[in-house]
Amino acid sequence: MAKKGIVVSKHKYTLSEKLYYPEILKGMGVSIRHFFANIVKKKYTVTLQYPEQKESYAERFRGKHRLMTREDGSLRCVACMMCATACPAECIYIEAEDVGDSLVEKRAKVFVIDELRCIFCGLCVEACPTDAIRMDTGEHVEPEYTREAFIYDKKKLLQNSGRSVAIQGGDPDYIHKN
Amino acid sequence: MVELIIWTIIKILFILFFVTLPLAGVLTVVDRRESSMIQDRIGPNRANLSGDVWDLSKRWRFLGLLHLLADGIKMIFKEDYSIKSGNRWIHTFAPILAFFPGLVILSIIPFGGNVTVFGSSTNLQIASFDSGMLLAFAFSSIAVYGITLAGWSSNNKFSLLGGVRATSQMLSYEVVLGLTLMGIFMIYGTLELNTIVQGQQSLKVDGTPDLLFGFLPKWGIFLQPFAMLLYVAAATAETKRAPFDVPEAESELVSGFFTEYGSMKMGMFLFAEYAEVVIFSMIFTTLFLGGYHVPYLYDSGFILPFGWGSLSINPTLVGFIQMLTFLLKVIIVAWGHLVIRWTLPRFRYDQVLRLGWKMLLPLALANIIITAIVLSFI
Ligand code: SF4
Ligand code: SF4
Repeated sequence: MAKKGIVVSKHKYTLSEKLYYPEILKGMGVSIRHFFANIVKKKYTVTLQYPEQKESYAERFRGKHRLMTREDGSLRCVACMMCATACPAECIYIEAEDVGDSLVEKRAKVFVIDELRCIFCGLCVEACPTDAIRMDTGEHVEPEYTREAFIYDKKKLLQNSGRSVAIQGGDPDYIHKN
Repeated sequence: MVELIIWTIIKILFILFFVTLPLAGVLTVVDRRESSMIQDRIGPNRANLSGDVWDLSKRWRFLGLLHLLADGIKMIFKEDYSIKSGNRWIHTFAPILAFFPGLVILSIIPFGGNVTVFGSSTNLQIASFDSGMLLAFAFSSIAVYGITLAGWSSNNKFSLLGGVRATSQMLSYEVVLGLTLMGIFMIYGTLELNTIVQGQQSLKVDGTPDLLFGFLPKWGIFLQPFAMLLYVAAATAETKRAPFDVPEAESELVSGFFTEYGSMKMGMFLFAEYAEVVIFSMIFTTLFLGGYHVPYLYDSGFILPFGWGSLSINPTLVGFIQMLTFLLKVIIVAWGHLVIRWTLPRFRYDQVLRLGWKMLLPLALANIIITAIVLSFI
């Protein structure tokens, strides 16, 4: 059985196309129209002057990490290691220390995230039971001159910090009971 | 004699350092910004002189023209790489050969009428030859050697291909280039550019205006519109710019004949391209757009057609007005040339040669024959 082919019709050139020049003039007309429209009013231009004008990221964009604080300004992190365990890139390093508080018990003495290894999956945020780590800064990790500068320590992570209103321990009546 | 030498030096310095080179330099930036305007972008606008670093509106940016300086500084301070294989001497010599012969063409271009300064009067043209345009043809073909040698001496297949393409393209289009202008030479009866411009001024021997249909000046564009179209195509091919940029063809040959060049040597090739655009615009203006001639402005002042009146102007002032007119026309033509570049896609290599030999050449010959027949009846 003969295979059925598709007949592709060849473009028939009109006289003005064969002569080149009328078409070239038409094309130049388009160029010139865009040129003047853009030079006078930036009519078609969509360029953003980047470092000065920024396009904001989507609301749920996973960006630079930040650590949240409690009402008294102390770090919310209780050094439970959940995020470090969940992290597929193994880029979170935490050293715990004793707080001497029977309810909170621990806090992070060292909290380091290597942003070069991070794959921005957001699993650390999901894992955290105390809403201590977030990626909702709305900016990406900035470029740096050295690799060391990408290793964010506690100080750097606290730069964009904010107070989280969720109450530690999950029990809303915790403060009143004691 | 001394007067002549001083005038010549002044004219050379003026046309070279105050017109051609600055214009070519500005064109490098204008080309980039114009292309971005055409393509709905903004283009390079960051180079600035101090000012506020973070507030764009407070920086002194001069429309991005400072990129010219930034580019120049960058080119000069880049490593002057010299190739290990291939012919090093020819490799170094080629950019020079591509750049300088073109500048000689400036000597025959009349860039203004007669001016009188401190009682000494001169024609604003460096050298007035009887062979005029022949000199331009001769020197523009020397530029081909620069390209070919650059491609050959680099010991690089891409460069070699670029050089070979440049040779065949430029040689074939040189033929067309010469033939298209033949009509102009026949009409004005000379190869000397200043005489051609005076012919386009449309003045009868007794000093009364001699206009086409009573109102059109006798410019080449009106007498030889067909030759004008052919000339634009052929001259664009000569300057190796899109749609005829097969020798360079970034998407096929990396950078064509100057793939192996760096620093200021590459800068010279790039700059030569823009200098060629300026020179092309000057020749085009001179031959087809009446050179420095302002419509209805003659040595003694304006004489409007249909007897609408006249206005007499100081002859020296007329000379300067004509000079500015010439520059204005050159700038407009160069701008149009850039628009062509940013409008058309590149021809395929075989298409370039087919267009040159099978279409433009016969048409140019037909133009000569028709012009000759018409002239013999007038
Ligand atoms: S976003 Fe993912 S990879 Fe980055 S630190 Fe959190 S868990 Fe690790
Ligand atoms: S950031 Fe959250 S998950 Fe990670 S150690 Fe601190 S409390 Fe645990």
